[in-house]
Amino acid sequence: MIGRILKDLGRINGVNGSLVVGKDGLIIESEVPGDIDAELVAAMASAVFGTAERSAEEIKHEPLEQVMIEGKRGKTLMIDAGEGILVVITDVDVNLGMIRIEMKRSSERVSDLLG
Amino acid sequence: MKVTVYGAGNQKLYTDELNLPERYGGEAPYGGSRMAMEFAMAGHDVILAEPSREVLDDEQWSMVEEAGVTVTDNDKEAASEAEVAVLFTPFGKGTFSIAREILPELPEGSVIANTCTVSPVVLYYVLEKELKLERTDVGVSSMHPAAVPGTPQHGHYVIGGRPTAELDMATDEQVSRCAELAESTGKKAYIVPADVTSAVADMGSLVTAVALAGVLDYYYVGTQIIKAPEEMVEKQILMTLQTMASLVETSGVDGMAAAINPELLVKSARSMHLLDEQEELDAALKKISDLNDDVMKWIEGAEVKHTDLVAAQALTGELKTVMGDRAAEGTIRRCMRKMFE
Repeated sequence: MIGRILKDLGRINGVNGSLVVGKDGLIIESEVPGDIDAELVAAMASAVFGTAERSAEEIKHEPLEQVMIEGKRGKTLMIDAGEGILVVITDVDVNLGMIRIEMKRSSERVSDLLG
Repeated sequence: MKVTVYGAGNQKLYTDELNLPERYGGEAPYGGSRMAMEFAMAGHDVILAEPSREVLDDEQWSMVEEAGVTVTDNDKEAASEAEVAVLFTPFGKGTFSIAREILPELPEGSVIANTCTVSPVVLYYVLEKELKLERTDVGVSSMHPAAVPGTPQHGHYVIGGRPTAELDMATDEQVSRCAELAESTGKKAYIVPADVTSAVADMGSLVTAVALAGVLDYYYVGTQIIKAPEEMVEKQILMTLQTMASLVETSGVDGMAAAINPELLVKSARSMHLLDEQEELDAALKKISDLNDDVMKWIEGAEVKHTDLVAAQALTGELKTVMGDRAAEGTIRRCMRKMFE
């Protein structure tokens, strides 16, 4: 079921891959290109998201809504999905607004599925 | 109880190489096959899964079967009714692959119990994804014999109970089931935190025993004779153990010994001889003073590599502060898993 949600996200223009990882960095489902080490990315996503959550708390900006890593060659977006984190990897030039709406919708479904 | 033991034990190793009959007594078959025999003789339904027929001779296989044990070479089939699946399997990866193979086949509520070839915590981490997502009903504990089954020294089992870390490895009922199985064979069951079993039951228990004697000696001398604050004494103990452990991790035993410098250590530690009776210190000083030339050359040739001498609990506490509990716990688990990969 989560696999299906990731496949749907992959159909959006500019999306190159996506994962759902546990808050502890364990991969739950993954749809990423073969040249990406999904296990390592999952561990890093949990560390980045966890650190961002703690930073938001400390700065009193909680609750954290999303994290974006912006590189010259692409973006990585992360959003809370209950027991997990939804991670989406994109090209540089993407319609961020649309992707965010889709990620929000998808993360709610993932959150329900992870119960 | 329905019990499956994986791995009969290599009898050539026990009898020819370790010379157990002469050194410790008892009789072959030793190891997993003997555990299976003892479980069967205690009235349990026991399967012994062993793909290599040659690890026991014909007479030994007859003894196993006459004890009431069913022998098979099919690991998966042997799992289907196992209320307790005991892994007396090869070190490391061999055990992980058998555990992965049998996990989907185990009945509801089964418990996988390691013996001496892998820490139950590492086994749990390796199976973590399946245990959290697919088989939340299966537990991981230990039936560690802490001696070779079949020798007179094997009078107890070490059972992995609730770990010191907050890991949901097995239910109380699953742990009790392992203890009940051990006790049914007339042996004592020691339930210890699952993450401590390796230190007290594996071959490394030699190191634990010698280190504990040193720790208790210094704790007594430090707090009662020198009358230093308890906290200071404990911090010094921590620093010493942490330094040795970290150096072994980065540089091996030879690198650790090179960094420590045995000659210097003897001179420093001798000044801590403050009581008439400090037998453990006497023994250690004698041993370290008498290192032969080969050992000294080995130590002198060692390389001391970059080592971060940081107390592990302080580091994990900082990780939790910076990245939150869940992400930090995941990081800790990956580090544990990597140590044994």
